[in-house]
Amino acid sequence: MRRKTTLCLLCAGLLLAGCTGRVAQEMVDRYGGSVPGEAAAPPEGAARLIVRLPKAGQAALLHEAGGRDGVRRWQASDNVQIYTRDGLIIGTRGLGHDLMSSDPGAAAALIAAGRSGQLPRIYRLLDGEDRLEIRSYICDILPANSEKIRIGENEWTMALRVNETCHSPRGALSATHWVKDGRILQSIQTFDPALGPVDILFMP
Amino acid sequence: MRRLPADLLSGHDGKAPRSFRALPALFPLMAAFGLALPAQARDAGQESGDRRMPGLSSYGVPGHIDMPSAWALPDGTFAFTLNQFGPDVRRATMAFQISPRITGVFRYSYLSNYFSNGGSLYDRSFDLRYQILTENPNGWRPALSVGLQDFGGTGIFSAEYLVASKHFGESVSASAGIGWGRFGSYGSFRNPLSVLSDRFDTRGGFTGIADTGRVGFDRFFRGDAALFLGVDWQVTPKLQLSFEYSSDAMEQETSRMGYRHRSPVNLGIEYRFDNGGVLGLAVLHGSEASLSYTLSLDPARPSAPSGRETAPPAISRGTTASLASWGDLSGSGQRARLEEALSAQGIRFEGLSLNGETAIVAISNQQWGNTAQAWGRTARVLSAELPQDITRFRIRSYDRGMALKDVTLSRADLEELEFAPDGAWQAFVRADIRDAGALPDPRLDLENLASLRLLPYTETAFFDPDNPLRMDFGAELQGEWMPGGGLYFSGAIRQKLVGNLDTSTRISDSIQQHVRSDAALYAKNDGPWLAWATAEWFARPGPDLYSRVSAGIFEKMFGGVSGEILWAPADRPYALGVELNYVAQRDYDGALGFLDYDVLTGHASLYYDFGRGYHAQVDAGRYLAGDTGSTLTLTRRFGNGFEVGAFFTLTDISFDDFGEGSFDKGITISLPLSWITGQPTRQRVGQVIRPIQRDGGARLSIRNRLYGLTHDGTGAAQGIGWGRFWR
Repeated sequence: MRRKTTLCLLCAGLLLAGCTGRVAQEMVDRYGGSVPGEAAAPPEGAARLIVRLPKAGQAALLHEAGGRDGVRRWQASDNVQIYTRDGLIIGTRGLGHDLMSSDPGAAAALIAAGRSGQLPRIYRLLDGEDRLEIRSYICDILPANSEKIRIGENEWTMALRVNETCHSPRGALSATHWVKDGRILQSIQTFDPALGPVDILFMP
Repeated sequence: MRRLPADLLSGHDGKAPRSFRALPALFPLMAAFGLALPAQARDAGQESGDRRMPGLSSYGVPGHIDMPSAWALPDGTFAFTLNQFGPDVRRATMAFQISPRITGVFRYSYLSNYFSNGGSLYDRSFDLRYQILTENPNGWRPALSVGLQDFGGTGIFSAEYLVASKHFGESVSASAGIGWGRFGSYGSFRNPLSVLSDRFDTRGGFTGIADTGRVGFDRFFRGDAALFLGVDWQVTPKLQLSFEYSSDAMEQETSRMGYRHRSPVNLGIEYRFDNGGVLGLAVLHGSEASLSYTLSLDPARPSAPSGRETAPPAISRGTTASLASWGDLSGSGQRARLEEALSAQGIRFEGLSLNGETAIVAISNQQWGNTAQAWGRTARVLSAELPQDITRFRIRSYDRGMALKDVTLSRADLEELEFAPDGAWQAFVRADIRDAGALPDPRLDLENLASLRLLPYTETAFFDPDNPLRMDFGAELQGEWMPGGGLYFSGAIRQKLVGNLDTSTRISDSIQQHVRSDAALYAKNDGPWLAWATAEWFARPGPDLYSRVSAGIFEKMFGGVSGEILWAPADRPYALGVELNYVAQRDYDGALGFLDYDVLTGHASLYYDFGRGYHAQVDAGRYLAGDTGSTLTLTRRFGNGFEVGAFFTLTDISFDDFGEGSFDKGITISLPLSWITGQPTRQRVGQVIRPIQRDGGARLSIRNRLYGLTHDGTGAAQGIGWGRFWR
């Protein structure tokens, strides 16, 4: 009997301390105040970006919510955001460890021009202790063939495939971009192995 | 190379696009010491060599089966081990890697029919290990560790060892060591340290229950010694086989519990689950089976490393409204909009004054565990809601009406750095952060702020031999009221709903004033009781000086008056505080009455930040039972707010007069609720674990001590947590 009571108490205590996501979530909803920053409705005619996370098995349609100095800010309906510059992801807010900033150097120019080259790339991600973990890579950019890609519901176009392979002592990353007229149309970019590749497609 | 899909519009799985917020939560159960902590699934491919958890022995420390190895846990991690050894012995162990080389261990053991009268032994023990050498994986140097097992408990498991470990290839590791005490009892020989002194020949004994808790200096590395060996073979990444030659003759178990020691050879098998849990099965001494389960926990890896909050508002150019239109702020639409926009970001707007092109905004952070992030979110809102002619924002943080820090950020810097590669560092460097104590108050019309909340609560009691874990669960009605001017009234009434704290029948045998040991009497109360009810006044008497005056019911057992002053400059690693309290002991019924005991108690405190998250606190003064002495607390604070600490108190009460345990000591674990849920909140959960609670060295438990209220802001002024400024 005593053991049973102890077990019940332990369960109650665990529930209280938030041992399941659901209970924890309810507690936070009830007592933790609102979650800041729900997204406003997208403006009419805003540019759109399709984002897929194959590792998490998720996808979303993002709208352009603003930008400055060449940076475009894309917003999902739940206000997760992605920042891009010249088609390369330079930041995320609300995705995994979050890419807080990125220094693509001259990568965008090389990729857009369909030229090969080698250059450094630096990513800063949150490390779980509220510090930025700097991950730097040496990347080889290598154009491949032209491929037919789907860019809309019934829209296809020919675009140059550009492969990017990055190395560091910690491991390797790879990216693939499809480029047309000096612009990245779609791209598979990886900056956090835990999140896996992020597929993005700029809707025409 | 893998062929990548050129058709990003069609998902492989055909799932419709949905929102990212559905990312699965990760909250398996971890029932350890009343805390629920998420186990951390580890991506085997991501785990680098030095973060891999070594095999643990049945004692819950790095080892093979029963014998220790020289490996350390990954820095800053916990390992929780449950072990059932034969039918009669159970152990629960919590090991923590205090620093890369130092491991601290707390263990609770149950030995059935240990005493001649048929009684069972409930034993609490502590270990300390130090890794003298790390392994050179490419050369010959092995890892070398020295360990003190059960150095301060009853001494039942008391042993010391020096052990070397080495990897051979990818899959084999082996250890060889010399043990004393329990680990020097089989195949033993004369202590080689006897060449230094004859004192090493004789090992001190254990004299009785009053001896518990004392550090066994007269046992360390004394008496006969013996050699032990262990080998692990990692058959697959998940499966490991172990063999060892044990130097433990199991003398106590054999003589007291009828244990049969047939062989020094132990054999074990371990299976590692995807969630990081390890299940171990072993056959020991040719006679008994042992079953273990270990879960590891890394405080540096919260459930959501970046938090589950959504994106912050963007830095904006500001409104086109003229500065003049902001002149009269009372009741204006702009002010209401600013207040609402800040509130949506978890920030309470407390006041605004404009001075030329500078806006001074008083805020209090309601939601963010990270102060820099609260400042970042505030700056973003100000950039959008204030006129574009305002070029500088001075954000002045308040907590309970007390001014803390003043941060100046320029609109131009914010625009330049929002997407800059090193934006976080640059933002910190360019921010002008000052002590807000001596600055004029921008809060023009202080509002009455009041709130009432209903919360659940738990109370726990550990290690009573009749029932090692007791717990009460109930409802708590909390209220607070801030009329302004640094005054803060708060209180809480609790009603137990279910629990068994009241089933304790232990009557305190303490010869001191029963300032803490009558907990069982306080737990008998079934009706509602007052957890605390205080009036507090917080102020800033000078630069870097903070003060608090409190009166009322402070805690379950004491109420009275209290005053505190703290000097905490942001540019020094130390802070100094003085606290003086006159308190009376509360009646057991939890109402407003007092017993016939009052005491003047107080401490002078030194807080020191060693950097890299290591903190020390020394409190010297008079404790609740009227004893004088001091407390040393060492804490490791992770960047995300997870804290692990240990403390001990020595006072003028002798070990004999103190009673069982000899002196007050314990372990503290405290973590932000957001560490578990990922949701931004300032709430914390925690637990103090004492092997035994007696009356000596007991300190008043008062809320809102100044160091705790101010050190987040002080840390942010030193640059801590600015990785989240743009989050």
